Parts: sequence; structure tokens; C-alpha cells
Amino acid sequence: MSDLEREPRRGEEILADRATQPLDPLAAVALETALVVEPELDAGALDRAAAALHSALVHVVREPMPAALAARVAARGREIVGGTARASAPEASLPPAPAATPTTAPAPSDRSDFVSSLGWLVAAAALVLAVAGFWPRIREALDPPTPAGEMRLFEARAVDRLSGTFAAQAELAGRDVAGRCAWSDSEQRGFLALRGLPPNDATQEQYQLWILVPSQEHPIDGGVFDVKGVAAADATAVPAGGELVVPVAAKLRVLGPTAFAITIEKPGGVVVSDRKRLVLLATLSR
Amino acid sequence: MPESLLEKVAAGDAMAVDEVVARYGGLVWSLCRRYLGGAAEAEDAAQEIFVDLWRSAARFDASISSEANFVATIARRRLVDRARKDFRDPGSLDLPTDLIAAASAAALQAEIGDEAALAVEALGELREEQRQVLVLAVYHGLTHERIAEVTRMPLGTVKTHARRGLIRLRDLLDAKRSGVRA
Repeated sequence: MSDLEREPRRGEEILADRATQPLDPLAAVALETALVVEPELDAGALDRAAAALHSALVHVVREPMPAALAARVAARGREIVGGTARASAPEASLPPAPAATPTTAPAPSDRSDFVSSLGWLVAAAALVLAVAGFWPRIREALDPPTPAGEMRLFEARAVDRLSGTFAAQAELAGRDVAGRCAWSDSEQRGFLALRGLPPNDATQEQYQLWILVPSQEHPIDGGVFDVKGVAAADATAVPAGGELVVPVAAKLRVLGPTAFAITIEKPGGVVVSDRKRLVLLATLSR
Repeated sequence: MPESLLEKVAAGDAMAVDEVVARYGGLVWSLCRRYLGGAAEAEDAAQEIFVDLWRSAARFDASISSEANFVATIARRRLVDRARKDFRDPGSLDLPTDLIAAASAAALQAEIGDEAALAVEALGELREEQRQVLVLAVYHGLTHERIAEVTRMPLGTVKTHARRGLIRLRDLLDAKRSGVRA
């Protein structure tokens, strides 16, 4: 631990800041100077250390990239890479080499094999051991990435979480409906957990979440969802007698929301609701 | 003959693009989702990150870090840059963007599993306050100011923990990699 007491050099300090924070203009200039004065500094080492840590921490809650996004990313990549090849590297038109596994290390995509899986299990276990007792949210991160697990993780983790309890409105009068909601400005993420909401026919109507923010003239669209619907891509089946957990899909940046409202709208939702079919309302507080 | 996927991309092999997306799409997406939160913003960021990656593939150097770490480093640079655009005053947008990219040249070393496991080990060897601040900064993407609010630590203390914690983490990673290689 003696290194902990070593006084970092100024250049190291700014590089450490840059690895985790937006640098202000003065710091950026100071970094330029430090890199000139201290040429031995490895300008990327702290970025790589932060990236290794971030990769480890997200691994336990890893989500696959949505297929549509992956397709767009790959299509753009083929344009860029293929374009570059045509413009500057005629030899690249040769048939591509077989997809070889890098010789220096096992490929990350081979993670499914036993040894690699074991390595990751050890890493995940080490993560828990390393931080148990001071960072319980990391333990939560080991939950499977279901919406319910995601919400539990979020509730344990979000340090600026606002939450509320839904109250049924006229549309649902007499029904045993309950629910809660949570939102974090810093994460721009939130969830609904609902019980007893009547199933909808997604071809006729959908539930739509609205986020009320005092600074916005109109409520922000928080996304549509279905209850036991099968037509909508984001439909989430409710376990028998269970809770439907819905991630908030805010269409704009949300800062300081005061309430969540759920209405019934036409399939796909609307841009501005007439609120004639308001079903649930929750006020948010810390 | 290119050996790694990124070397193939750098050589203009468009077929390698799909393999890169298949292999690292989940990593990039998860980094974006955890750092930015909103799905729409994460989608924008992920697309920007991959454009950066295609254009930076030639800088990949397997003697410095793994491909996965190279990808994650590029991703984090873009994510931190987006945080600046989102949360800072417009004047800060005038910063030379090449300062953000200066750390590049990044690259290789052990495979992602080894590197991530070593990072976890190293995290466990930091002081508690350093771990707490680093996780808030790296995983949650909170600014030093926000971390000070959340933890009720003085801002100067937060900065000290973040800097020394990350420097210590780097030193521990270096030492552990050397041990793995030895």
C-alpha cells in the first residue's frame, strides 16, 4: 500500500481526471503542458485501467446489443471499412482471411466454453468478495438481466433515485391495481412495477407512460407498453399473480420529474395525450 | 497477414466488421447503457463509438492491451466526451477534441477475461473510499462534484481518492500482468 502514499505527478493527476471526468479548458491546457514537460508519461495507461475496470463491472450485467442497432452499426462499418479499402488499399479486395482466433489470447467470444465461463464466474465471484460489505449494489448486479432484476439493481444503485406509488384513476375505478415507479436523473433511467393492470389488445390500444417535468410544457413520452400483449415488440408477459416491470423509455432527457402518469392510447402511442383515459398517476419524491 | 479482428478491419477487410460487432457489440452497448442510462442516447453513443473504432482500428497494438480493452477505452473516451457535451456549459465544447483522443495508441495485452478479472482483483486491493469513488466515477459516470454530494465527502477529498485510486489501480494492473506473464 505504500504506493498509495506516493504523491502523483501533476500530469498523472490530470490524466486520471481525464479517464473519468470531462476536463475543463484549463485542465486540458495543463495536460498539454504536462505531456510536453513529462514525456515519459503513458498518456493512455489510466484510460485503459478505467476501461478494464468498467468492462469488469458491466460484465455482470451485460446486455446484448439490440439486433437492429447491431445491423446499423455493421452496415455503417462495412461502408467505412470497405470505402477505406477501395480508396487506399487495393490488396484488401483479395478474399478475406478466414476468421482466425487471435493467436495471442483466446477470443472473447469463446466465453461460452467451460474454461472461459469458469474464468468469468471466478471474476464475478471475486468482484463480490472484493466489494462485499461496502457496495451491496454490486451484489445485486449478479441478478439475471430480467426487467425485475434490472429494477432491483437500479433501486439499489441509483443514488439520486426518485420514487412514487401509483394510484388508480377513473378509468380503473373499482379494480385492484397497484404499482410503484422509480427514476434517476443521473442515470436517465427508470422503471415501473405494476400489478393488476388489465391486459390490453395491442392492435387496438397500448398503455403509454408520461413523465411530468415542471420545466416542460408537455409531459415527456416515456414509451408504450403492453400487458400480456404479444403484438408489441416490448411486450412483457406478467407472471401469474405477479408484477409487470417496465423500463422507462424516455424520448427526451428528463431532469427533475414530479410525476408519472399512464394513459391508454392508440397503438404506438401519441405525441401529446388528451389524458381522457388516464389510468394511473404517481407523484415522485426522494 | 492480419491476425486480430481489428487488424483485419484496419487492412480494409469489411467482412471482419460483422465479427467485431458480434464480439464487442454487447460490451459497447452495456458500457453505453450503464454510463448514459437512456436507450436513445446509448444508441447514438454506440454508433459513434463504432465509427471511432473503424477509423481507429489501425492504432490497435496487441503489445499494449487486448482488443476488448482497446474497444472499451475508445468507448469510454466517447462516453466521457458526451458527458461533457451534456452537462458542461457550451464554452467547454471549444476544447480541442484531439486531447481526448491523445491517449490513443492504446491497445493490447491479455484477453478480456484476464484483464477484467485482474481489474476486479485490483479493485479489491484499494482503500474502501477509493473503491467507492472509483466505482461511482467509472461505472456510474458521476462527476467529482456529484460524487461529493452523494458521499458527502469534500470535493478535494473526492478528487484525491479518484486520482490516487485510479493510479493505484493502474499500478496494480501492471504488476499483476507482469506476474501473469512471468
